[in-house]
Order: sequence, then structure tokens, then C-alpha cells
Amino acid sequence: MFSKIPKLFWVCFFAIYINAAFWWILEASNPSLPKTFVMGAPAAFWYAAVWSLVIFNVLLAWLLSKV
Amino acid sequence: MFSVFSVAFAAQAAEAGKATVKADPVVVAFAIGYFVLIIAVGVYSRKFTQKATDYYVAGRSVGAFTNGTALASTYLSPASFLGLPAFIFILGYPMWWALIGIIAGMTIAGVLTAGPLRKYGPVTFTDYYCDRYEMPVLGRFIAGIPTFIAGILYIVLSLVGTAIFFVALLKVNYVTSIWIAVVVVLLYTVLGGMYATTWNAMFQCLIMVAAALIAAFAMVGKVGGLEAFFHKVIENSPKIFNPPSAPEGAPHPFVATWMGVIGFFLTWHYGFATMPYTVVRFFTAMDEKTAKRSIIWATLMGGLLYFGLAIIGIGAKLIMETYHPLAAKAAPIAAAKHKPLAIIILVLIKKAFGIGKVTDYAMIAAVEALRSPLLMGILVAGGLSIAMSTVAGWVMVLNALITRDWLGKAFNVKFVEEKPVTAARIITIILLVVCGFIAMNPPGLVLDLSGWAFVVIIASLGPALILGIWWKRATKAATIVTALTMTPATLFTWLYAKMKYGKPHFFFLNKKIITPHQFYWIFIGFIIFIIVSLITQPCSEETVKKYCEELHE
Repeated sequence: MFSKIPKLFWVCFFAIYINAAFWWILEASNPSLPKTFVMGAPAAFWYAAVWSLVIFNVLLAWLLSKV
Repeated sequence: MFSVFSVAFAAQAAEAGKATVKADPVVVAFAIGYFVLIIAVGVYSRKFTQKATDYYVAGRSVGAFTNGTALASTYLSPASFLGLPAFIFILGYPMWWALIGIIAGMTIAGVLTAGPLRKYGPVTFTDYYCDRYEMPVLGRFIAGIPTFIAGILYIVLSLVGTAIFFVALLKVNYVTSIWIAVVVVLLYTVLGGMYATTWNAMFQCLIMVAAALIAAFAMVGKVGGLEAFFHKVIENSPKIFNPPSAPEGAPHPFVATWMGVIGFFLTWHYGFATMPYTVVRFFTAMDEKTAKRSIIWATLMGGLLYFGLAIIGIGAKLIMETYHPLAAKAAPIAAAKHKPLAIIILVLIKKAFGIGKVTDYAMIAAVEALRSPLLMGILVAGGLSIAMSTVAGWVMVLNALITRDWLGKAFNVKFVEEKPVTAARIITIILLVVCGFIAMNPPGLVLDLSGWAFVVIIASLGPALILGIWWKRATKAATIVTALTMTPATLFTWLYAKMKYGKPHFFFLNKKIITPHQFYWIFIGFIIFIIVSLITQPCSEETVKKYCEELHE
């Protein structure tokens, strides 16, 4: 079943959900994190978390276009 | 400078029974420039539209950048642009996860559907269901009926979205606005078919991304920089960045549980891989590689657009309450009613124009509070872009469905076979005129049902689309059963929750459980499809080999 799906796809597929789940678990255990400013930078934690995922997904889309 | 108070003045004037003020010349200039561009593209692309495949799939000649940007602007509807700022300031930071869900869904679609579907090369959305599941006529209706209903809902919604920009910013009355939108979209879709739709969608994507980013940076600048912006936002809305587990409470009951957050994420996430108006974009790409590469551009452009919209959404409440010209008038009402001031400002604006929903004015009011005619001009071009690209995308899906699939393939109408492009043009005109009439006085439920349209397509047609490419056991019976059960099930539960609890995001049997748009049906649809497939006869070896082996070689 699903043997034709490229292995790289499975890696990217699970990476997306593991990554999202990682942030959700981190937030669930540290509820004040989303409004914490990181290392004095003018950007809050949520800003870094969410937008790192956009960059991450563009990279995954690029990787998957090579399959 | 004072003319930028357009919405506010119109609201005040309407309340006082006076004539509304004229539109700002800068805003009008931007709108005219936008219309000239997209109609010129329509006229120019006419010479490329000779055959039926030119009209339906742009001759399968579209490159990765054009296709990817067109994908992004077609998929993202005016609901993203008009209402998102309000949804973000009402639902808070957890709503961002829905946006990320869309971006991540684009990535997954790249491999799951884009590449294989382009390699197979169908002309219309239902071609795949007919061929893969060996039901040449039935497939046209099994896949076609939910697509038709969803398409009409989206076109009407997007026409109303376009009209809101006309009414609020260009001071044109509502009915005239609807017909201007219909005529402009007609001009370029009728003349240039998928070529014009695709090239215009590319320009529309660039305009809407630029509009969102410029407005976001202007908003941050107005408050005094990024750090001041974030601090003032937290001061204005202390709960806005709270996740569901925060002891002080979440910004809104819908995101007070992780199921609500994850539900919004998943509903939007799977839509991209299965919605007909995005799937047909994979058919227009030059080749399989181009189809996959176009996903990179869609992800990047979608990400940039949401980057801007999320900042606007986070700051919208603060900006409106601090700088909007109606703030002073709305303040005593907000205090008396114990409602947020920003919501009362939106209520006053909605009351003045009388169309759409209160949240539809969030983007316009937030940018208006910045008091710059240039920004309003950019906003009007961006708003018209996002709304019209969705109208045109759906019109192309529906005209192919009605003309080629139903009249041509299912009912063998001779005129359609002999003159496919003329027939498609006639159907496009009829479709847009009918949707224009519905949009003139749209029932409230029609506008709300677009949320259901999203879930019904994913749950009823998604499993057969995705599993048919990758799983040899996927059967015709499972396709029929899933479509016939999921369509009424999603509609009933969505309507039940909406009627009984006021919003479709409550679980239909228990208001305490948050299930955005009844998203659990997506998984139930896949489970039903797999179970029925396992107990019914698979398709012929030849078909299975073609889809589950040859497409992946």
C-alpha cells in the first residue's frame, strides 16, 4: 500500500506535522511563550515560531519538487 | 488628506441622511489602472485562444512562476483579505495556525496531487474521476455536483467581496458594483479563457501581496516601529497571544481548546490539495516538474501575503481604536454595550453600507485608520485582485464542467462538440450573469455556506482524488459511497450547528466541543473510502496500472 510514494515525501509529510506538534506542545507547556520576547529582539516568540514554519514549508516544497 | 476618511464620512453622512462624499481621486486612479491592466491582458490573450485546450487549460504551456502565483491568488479568496484582520484580532494568535495550515497544505499538494495529475494531463476536474474509477458518465455528476454547488457559492461570495470594495472605497452603489465586477471578469474570461485568467491571476497575486505587505509595514511604522507595535498590541489586547492553555484564558472560546486550533489548521490545510479551482491549475503547467515547482512559488507568495495580513490582523484593533475617525463616536456606544471599540466601529460602518458582514470591513477600516490615500489606492487594487481572481478561477472550473463535461460528454450536445470555445464563452456569460443576480441580494446563508463548501469538497471528493493516485485498492463503489454520504452529512451537521448554536464551529451534538466547520468529516470520509474500497471490487488492472504505477515512473 502506498509503496509508490517517494520516501522523501514521507519525510517531509511527517516533518510538517511533527514540527507543528512541537510548537503546540511547547506552547501548551509554556503558555506565556507566545508573548515572550526572545533575547531582546523586537519580535515575540510566536513571530519566530510561525514564520519559521513558512520558510520551512517553502524549503520542503523546493525539496519535493526534486522528487 | 481629509478625503481619506471616506468610509467614516460615508458612514456619518449616511446616518445623517446626506449624500455620500465622492471617492478619493487617488483611489479611483488605482482602480482604473487595475481595470485597464486586466482587460488589456484579456484582449491580448485572445489571440492565443484558438482550441478548446487553450480555453480550458491555457494550452498546457504555463511556467512555474506564473502558475504558482496564479495558484496563490486563485486559492486565497476575498474572505482572506477582507475578514482575516478581524478574525485575527478576535480569535488572536491561535488563528495564525490556520494560515500556516494553508501554507503547509500547499507543500503536501506538490507531491500528492500536482505532479501525478499533470503527468496524467486531464482537461477538467471530473475527467480524473471518470477515468480512474471507470464511470464515464456517472463520474461527471458524482464529482461535478459538489463542485458546482461549491463554485456557485464561492463566485457569489467573491462578487459580494468585490462589491464591498467598490461601495466602501469607490462610492459606487452596491448593485452597480456587482455588475461592474461581473462585466470586468466577463471581459477577460470570455476573451482569453484560461490564458487571460492565469496571466491576470499572476498580476493579481503580485498586487495583493504588495498591498498586504505595504499596509502591514505602514501600520507598524504608524505606531513607532516593531517593538513599540508589539508592546502596544499586548497592552491593547492582553490575551491576543494566549494559546489555549494560558491560565488567563484564550482570546476567544473557539480557540480555547487545542481541538479548535488544530481543527482550523486541518480544515484549511487539506483544502489546497483537493479544491477543484487549485487542482485545475496543475493541468495548465508545462509539465510535471513545472507543476511541482509552481507549488514553491504558491507557498512563497501565500506566505508573504499572510505575513502581511497577520501583522495587519494583530494590529487592526489597536490601530482602529487609536486612529480611526469613527473612534470618538463609537466610544460611548462601546462603553454602554461593554463591547470592544473596534467592533462598534465596524458595526457603524456596516450599518452605513448595509451589505456583507461586520467583519468584512476590518481590512478597509484598519487601513483607513492610517489616513493615507496612497495606501487606500493600493488596498483597493489588492482587494479587487484577490476577489476577482477567485471569481475567474471558479468560473473557469464551472464553465468547463457545464460545457465540456455535462453538455458535451454526458449529454453529447452537438453544438458543444462542434464549437467548444464558443459554447464555453456562452456558458461563462450565463454563469456570471446568474451569479450576478444572486449576488444582488444574497441570502445570508449563501455567504455563510462557503465554509461548508470547503469541507464538503475535501470530505466527499478528496479521498477518491488522493487515494486513487496512490492506492491500487481504491474503488468506484468507495468513490460513490463517500460522495453520497459526505455531502449530506457535512451539510446537515454544518447547518444544524449553525442554526442551533449560531456558529458552525461548535460540534453539532455538543456546544462544549469546538470542531471548526465540522472538520472531523475529512477523516471520516477517508476512513469510509478505505473501508468500502477494501470490501468492494477494484478497478480493472489496466486502470490501476495506469494510475498507480505509470504515473509514478
